[in-house]
Amino acid sequence: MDLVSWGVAGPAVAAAFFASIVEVVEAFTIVLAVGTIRGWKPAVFGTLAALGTLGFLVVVLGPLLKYVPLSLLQIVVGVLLLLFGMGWLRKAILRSAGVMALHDEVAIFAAETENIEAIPDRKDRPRDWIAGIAAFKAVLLEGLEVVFIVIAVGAGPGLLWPAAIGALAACVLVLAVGVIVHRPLSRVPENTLKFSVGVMLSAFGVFWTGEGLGVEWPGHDLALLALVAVFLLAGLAMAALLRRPALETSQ
Amino acid sequence: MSLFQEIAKELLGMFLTDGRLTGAILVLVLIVAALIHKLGTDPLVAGAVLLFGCLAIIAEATARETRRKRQQ
Repeated sequence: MDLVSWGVAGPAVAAAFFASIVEVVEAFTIVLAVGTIRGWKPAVFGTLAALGTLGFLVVVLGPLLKYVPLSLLQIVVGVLLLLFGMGWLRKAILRSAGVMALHDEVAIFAAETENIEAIPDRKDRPRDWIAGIAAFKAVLLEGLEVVFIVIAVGAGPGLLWPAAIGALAACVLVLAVGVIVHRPLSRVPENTLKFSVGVMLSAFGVFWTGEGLGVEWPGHDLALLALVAVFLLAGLAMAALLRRPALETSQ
Repeated sequence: MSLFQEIAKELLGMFLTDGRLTGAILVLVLIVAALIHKLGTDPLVAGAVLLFGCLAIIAEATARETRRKRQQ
């Protein structure tokens, strides 16, 4: 792969890998809570059912994308990436500035454990069934975000496989660490990862939307790296500015 | 709330975290499209409008949320 291809494949793999780490850690916390409280049968059943549903969606919907004209696909994917990526970046900047509380996997694990323990055991809806549904929902919802990110950053020619490999590597890494430590992965620097992913998805969003509308970026694919740098510097500057107490007192 | 409603709500939430942010991004994309295809603006200039427009939108959204949180 030449330098230009790496210019766009690198951010695609990195975005898919880091985003998947964030999402898989969140899903793992819920599955761990289900497995710990109600046993591994409903947890594994719910997880496998969700992965099967995700696989079905990818297999059915994935091939349809090739029938969409490239410029339309770039605009739609670009705009969705802008909406999704800038949403993540906004939250990451606010968390980095101390305006919004950080995501706490231990607290989420405790809350989910409490919810599962409070489920009444009914004949028509046994506890294991509801616990399995909780695992199914968590894996499906977080997995849908991973699928969207992989398809969106992999929308360029030859990028789908690098992005998918990035996401798969993240899943394997989180599961391996999770199985070893067997508790919520609270030490993952989630906001740093979200910040990076928000930056990369926003840059991809500007890049694809611009290309879809007819912008020929200088340096072609390498322009993506410049866009990543601009969003990163701007995001860091915004977080630093919002962190300043002067802003608080001037309001 | 049914499982499907919950999934639909979460999916919508993926793209609509802040209504004003979403609206501003969509308006910006429409402006850039009009610049290129209706007004014949140099696409590179329109690309710059898209990039700096996005930065302005995220700056406004974070500053607005910071003000709101600190006033609470």
